[in-house]
Amino acid sequence: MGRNRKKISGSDIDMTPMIDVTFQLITFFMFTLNFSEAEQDQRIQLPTSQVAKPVENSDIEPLTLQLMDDGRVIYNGEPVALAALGDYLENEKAVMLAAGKEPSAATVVVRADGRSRTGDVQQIIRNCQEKGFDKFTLRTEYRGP
Amino acid sequence: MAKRASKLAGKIPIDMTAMIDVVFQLLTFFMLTLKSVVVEGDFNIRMPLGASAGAAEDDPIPPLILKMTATPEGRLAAVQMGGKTIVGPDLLGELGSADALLEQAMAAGPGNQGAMKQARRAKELTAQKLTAALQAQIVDTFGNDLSRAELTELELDCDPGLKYDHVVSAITAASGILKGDEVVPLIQKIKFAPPKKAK
Repeated sequence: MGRNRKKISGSDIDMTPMIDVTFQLITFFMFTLNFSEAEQDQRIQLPTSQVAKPVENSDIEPLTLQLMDDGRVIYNGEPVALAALGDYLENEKAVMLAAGKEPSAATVVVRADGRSRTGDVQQIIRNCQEKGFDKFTLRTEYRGP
Repeated sequence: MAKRASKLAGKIPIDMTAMIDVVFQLLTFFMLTLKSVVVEGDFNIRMPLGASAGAAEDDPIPPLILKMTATPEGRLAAVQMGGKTIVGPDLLGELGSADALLEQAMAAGPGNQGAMKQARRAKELTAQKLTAALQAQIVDTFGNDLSRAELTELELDCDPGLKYDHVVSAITAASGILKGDEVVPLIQKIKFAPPKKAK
C-alpha cells in the first residue's frame, strides 16, 4: 500500500464502500422525505394522542382530507370551502368507480387541526358517507410514552 | 488527460471529489429536512351511513354515550357520561386557560416561538389530564370486567362548536390504557352521534 501511494499522486483510498453507503443513506432520506411531504402540511396542527395506532399503509391509496382551523379543507394541496367539498368527493368517487373499486374500499384520512370545530369534522365525515365512503381514520400526532 | 488515464490503468481514473461533494451536500440536505417529520398515529372509526341513523343492530350491550358540551368560544363546558357529570370545574378551568394561552400565542404571530412552544406544552399537559380523568371514569363503568369494553360502542355526542382536540382527548381515553410501553385496548368501536338539526 505504501508503495502505491508514492506512485499515484491522486486519491488512492478505495472510496467504493463509502460511496455505496452514502448513496444508500441518500436514497433512504429521499424516500422518507417524499412520503412525509405529501402527507404532512404545515398549515395543520394535529391534536396529540398517546395511544393512537401507528399509521398503516393500505394497498389502496387513502383519500386525505385536511381540515384547517378556519373551517376550510385542504384537498389536493388547495384550500377549498367545506360546502364545496361534496363536488370534489363526487369526482373522487367517479375516479374510484372508473377504476373498478367501490368507494367503501378506500379509507378517508381526516387530518383535522386541533383547534377546528368538531362540527366541521362531523360535516366532512357526513359528506363522505353520502358518497359511499365509510372507513375513516382520525389522524393525530403521536406522543409516545 | 488521456495520457494520464492510461498510466493509471486499473485504478480509479476519474476525479471523484466533485461528485462526493455533491453527494454529501445532498445527504446533509435530506438529513436536515427529515428532522421536521412528526410521528403520527391513527384512530379508526367505521361509520356507514345506515348505522349513523341509530338503531343498535344486534348489540346486546347499550352504547356508552359521552356528551361533551362547549362554551361559545369552543372550550369544554361540561362532560357527561350516562347523564352524570364527570369532569370537575377545576380541570375545566385549567383546560380553558390553556386554550386561552395558546390562542394568545397564536394571535401574537410566529415571532415569539418560545411562548408558542410553552403554550403548546401547557395545552398538551392539560389535554393529558383530561384524558386521564375521562379514562378513570370509563374504566370505572366496566368495573373489573375490562373485556366487556371491547364489545361496547362509544358514541360521542359533541357540540358542533367544540374544539376538536378535546374530542381527540376523549377518544384517546376511551380507546386504550397506557401501561408502561404497552397499550391495553379498551373500546374499539367509536362513532359520532348523529348531529342535531340546529346549527
